[in-house]
Amino acid sequence: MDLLWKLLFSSMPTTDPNSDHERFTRLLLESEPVMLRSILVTVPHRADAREILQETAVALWRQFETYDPARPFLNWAMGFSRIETRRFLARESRRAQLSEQAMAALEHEMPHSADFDNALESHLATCLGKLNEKAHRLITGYYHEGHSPEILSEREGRTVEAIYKTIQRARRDLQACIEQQLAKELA
Amino acid sequence: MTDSIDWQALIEKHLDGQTSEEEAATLSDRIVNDAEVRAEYLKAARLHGALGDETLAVDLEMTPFTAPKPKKDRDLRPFSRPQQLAAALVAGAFVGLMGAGVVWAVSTPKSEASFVPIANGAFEAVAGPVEMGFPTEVGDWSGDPAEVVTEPDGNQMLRFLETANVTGDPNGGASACNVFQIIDLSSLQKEWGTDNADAQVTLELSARFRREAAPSDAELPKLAGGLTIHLYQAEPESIGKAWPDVIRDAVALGSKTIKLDPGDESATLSASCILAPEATIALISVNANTRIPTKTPITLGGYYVDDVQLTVIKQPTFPVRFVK
Repeated sequence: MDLLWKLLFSSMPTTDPNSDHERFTRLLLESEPVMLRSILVTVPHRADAREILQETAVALWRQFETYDPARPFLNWAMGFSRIETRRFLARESRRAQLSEQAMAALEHEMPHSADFDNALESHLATCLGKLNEKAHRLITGYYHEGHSPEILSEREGRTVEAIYKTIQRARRDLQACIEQQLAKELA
Repeated sequence: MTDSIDWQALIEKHLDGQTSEEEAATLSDRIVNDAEVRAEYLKAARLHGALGDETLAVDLEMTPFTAPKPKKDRDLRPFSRPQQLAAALVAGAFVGLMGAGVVWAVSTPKSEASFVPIANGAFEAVAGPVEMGFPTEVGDWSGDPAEVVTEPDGNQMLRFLETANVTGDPNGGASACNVFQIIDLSSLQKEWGTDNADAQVTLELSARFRREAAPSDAELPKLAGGLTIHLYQAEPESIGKAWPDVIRDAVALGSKTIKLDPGDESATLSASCILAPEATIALISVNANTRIPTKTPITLGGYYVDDVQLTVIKQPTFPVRFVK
């Protein structure tokens, strides 16, 4: 749990710490990865997506008493995250956004990509291991160290374009690798 | 996705936050109206999201880099003394940074690499059709319709002829032409000490692919060459009986594909996997895959493969971790 989550939870009213608060925390933590990945589909910038997730968590907590435990928490929560995503996009214009219709089409399609999502979870680490050293280093630098292609270009002594192409190629290799694993599983 | 815009590139550009308003609008329209672009976007976005996932950082740190590719025309031997020392110094630099001593690095086990014998890996032994059906024993190629052909200069290579279902199941998928070989790993396991925690042993399968023009090219826009390596703890004859469900029981696997256009320069592809201590056999395959979901065989003809090699590589495990 990162610092923001800790702050969020510490600021929550704990009317009944042994039931609602703990139950909410557990449900939220279980759903957080799926929610974040869903938000990232329409808001690819990770910091923006995290901000939406935090707003969603606050909204969920405020409405938690209306949650019906007989229903899946994730389904309930996803409705909130869609609303918070729209709110965020309405007030932010830092990056070009997809249209409302495109976002709706993607959200409608998401459940149908479950096979790929499962394969992604199962095989991404393995597929990363098959990248060559240079691509692996750049993917790590770009995604986990948060460096821009410009910084990576200086570090690697290559042009920005070459860096970006290598990252693109690595992502395509990864996608192909995962699809291949999936095809084998479905064969 | 047949028009002039490279939708995949545009999708990636958007996911990287680099699209203009106009480009985002173009992409949006396409996402609404084209199911294929929508599906591609979702896959790319899921991958993008997963790659940034903090929990994956652990896997990235633990995942070994792909072993260096051996040169085909070089007899592979243990690294020379200067190379061992260089590796030790690199390890020492990392270990030193992490607070341990340099002495450990000097006594690091040496890196070694050696070819693993493959029956007829260069396809030079015999020309003609490859045996049909799934291999039941160690020692030669068999699989879907393929033949070994001889080039004008005398070189021989494998040509993929037709997709098929290797088990003969008429209701099974027949989207690819696969040619397999089973390799016994028992002596390799003993020789290379894979249960030694101080070293990591990997198997790297490589092959050279080439594509020439063929009459069916226009109908096969996604045709790709590929190779796979699966490791099993099983008897050779049991793999074919349980194929393809047995894939789930693989103790390690690696695969790679390449998409060549007719007339492109030949390209060498390699796939690696860790040699798991419990693995008793390796199932290697080379293939041409149409990526068309079909139960009906499709005529191929343009894809060739040559110089299939399997290399075992033992490297000391360096405690290198990325620090944010």
